[in-house]
Order: sequence, then structure tokens, then C-alpha cells
Amino acid sequence: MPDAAEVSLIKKCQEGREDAFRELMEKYQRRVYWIAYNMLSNYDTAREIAQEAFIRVFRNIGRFDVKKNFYTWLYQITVNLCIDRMRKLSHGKTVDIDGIGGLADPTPTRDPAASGEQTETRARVHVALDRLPPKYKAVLTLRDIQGFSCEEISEIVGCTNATVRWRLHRARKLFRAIWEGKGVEIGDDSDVGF
Amino acid sequence: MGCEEVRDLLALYAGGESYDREREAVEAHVAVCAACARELDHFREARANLALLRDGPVPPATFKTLWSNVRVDLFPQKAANRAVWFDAALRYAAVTMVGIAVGVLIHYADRRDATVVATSAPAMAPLAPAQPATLGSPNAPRLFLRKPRASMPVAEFDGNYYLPRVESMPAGAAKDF
Repeated sequence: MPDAAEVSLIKKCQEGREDAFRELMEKYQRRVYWIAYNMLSNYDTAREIAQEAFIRVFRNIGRFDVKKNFYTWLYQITVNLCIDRMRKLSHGKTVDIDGIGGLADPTPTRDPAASGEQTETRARVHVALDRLPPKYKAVLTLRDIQGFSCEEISEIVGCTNATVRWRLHRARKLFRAIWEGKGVEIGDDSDVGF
Repeated sequence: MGCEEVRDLLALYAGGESYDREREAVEAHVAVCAACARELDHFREARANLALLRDGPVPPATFKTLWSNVRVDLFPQKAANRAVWFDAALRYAAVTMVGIAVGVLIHYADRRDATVVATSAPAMAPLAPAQPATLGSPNAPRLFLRKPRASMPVAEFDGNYYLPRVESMPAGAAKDF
């Protein structure tokens, strides 16, 4: 249930108030940007997606029911835009990771102070994440990176809790296989059994 | 539960999404099975690596640009008004600067011409007798860029401007002046 201050802000936005929309945007822009960046791995594209998401939100905010969660609606728009963009970019191609070396460091060091190593790991995680089909990438981003609950994710991606759990299960297995360089063919973007 | 069944549950267990019954089964199994415990560690490590992407450096001015772009799209009139004022101010400033620059150029061109004439005239004719500088003579210092026009009437004073002409007086009129 949204808090009273946010409801008031949304109502002002529905009246077309620029200052209210700016306040609302400042509250959520960082999260929207990071969801887009984690899914697309590109700063400029992430900014474009965030911009498009906020524009769509404002244009449709008149039809938004204030009893519902604003953030799930906003993140739903963001994730859908990201999935559309990813599909356009990949154009439905099948990625076969046989022959691609594992992304996991063969001799990992556990020094948290080594920021250079962390940057490198981050880059390798992005590469592994980029090889996942869009819907698996979406749930993994929302759950393991952004920390949303399964209920919130099911609202954001518009499917049941069971489907979210299934996708998470598949996504983690695929991610691990890519990370460890195991031969896995990622071409099936469908939810088997759901 | 065997290893095969437990391994199928590990992906969700690592993220804390397992149901209670599944969680209990996994915990009981990994307590005694080192291979499955290692497998669980791999899933946990993968999650920890993903969590590294949670936050990081953002290019400067990202959010400022984001707002300005959204604003231009959603509230074009206000943004345009500000742009028009700014544009007009820039135009006025540019015109003023060009005017000042032209004025300064004219000023310095005049001064340079006058300096050249003043310094070169004695060197060219050192033995010639000094002539009075009159308007129009080559020795006169130029004060203006524009030369006096040839067709301009020259005022001549003959001393009779304020006297009425006698021939224009009527015949019988008294000449009392």
C-alpha cells in the first residue's frame, strides 16, 4: 500500500504539476536507471530507457489507480522497455556458449580491498548476464541484483509467483553454467511447464 | 532425498525462495554431503557476484541530463520559453559585441592613418618650405575616414549678406536705413 505522501505526489502529477513529477522522478530515477543498466549493460541505452519510462509514466499517470503500488508499475514499464530493446538488439538469435571459455576466475583471490579485481569481476558478470534470454535476465536482475521479493517481481513482470520461481531456478542454473564455461545452449526462451 | 533431487532445489535455496519442506530437506542433506554443499557454495558465489552490480559509478550529469530530456519532452512550453529568452539574450550580446568591435577597428584605423601621414610627410620633402596645412591639402592630418565631398558648397563671405539689395526696393520707398 503506497504511503500518503506518495499518493499526494501522484495526485499532483495527475493534475499535470511539473514540480511534483520532478520530485517523483528524483525518488525513483536511480533505481530505474540501475535496472535498465543491469539489463542492458550500457550507460547511454540505460539513460534512454529510463527517460522513455518516465515519459510513459507521466503520459499515462492519469489512468493510474493510486491504491496500487506506483513503483511496481514504474518498474514494470522499465523492464518491458528493456526486454523490447534486448529483443531488438539480439533479434531472436540463439546463443551457443560451447567453446566460450568460463568467466569465473580460475584462481580467485578473496581480497575485498582489491577494487580493480572487483571491477573486472563486475565486467565478467555483465558478460555472463548478457548471454541470458531477456526474461531470465529480468528476474535475475530484479531478485539477485535489485533485491525485490518474488511477489514484487511477479507484479513487475506480470506473471504468477510460481512462474517467477521457475524462471529464477532456470536463470541461476544458466548463469552458473555460463560463468563456469560449461557447454549450454541457450535458445529456449519459453517457460516449460508454465 | 538423493543428491539429484537436492541439487535441483539448490538454485532456489541459495536465494532463500525455497518452501519450508524443501529447505529442511536441503539443510539435512548438505550437512552430510560435501559434494552438494560445494554445489550450494557455487550458487551462493554466483549470487554474490551478481550483487556486485547493485550499485556502481554513474557517468557524471546522468540524472541531470535525464531530467532535462524528460522535461523538454513533457513540458515543452516552459522549457522553450526559457530557451527563447536565452537565445534572444545571446543574439543581443552578439550584435553588441560586433558593433563594439567595428567601432574599435575604425578608431584604430583612423589613428594609424594619421600617424603614418604625420611621420612620413617631413621625410619625403625635407627641404621644401613649410606650407600651411589646409583642409584638403595632402599634408593635412586626416581626422575622418570620409573625405569631404567635392560637390559640397563652399561658404564665401562677401560682407553684404545682411544688407537688402537697393534694386529690389520700390521706387517711392524711403531709403531710411
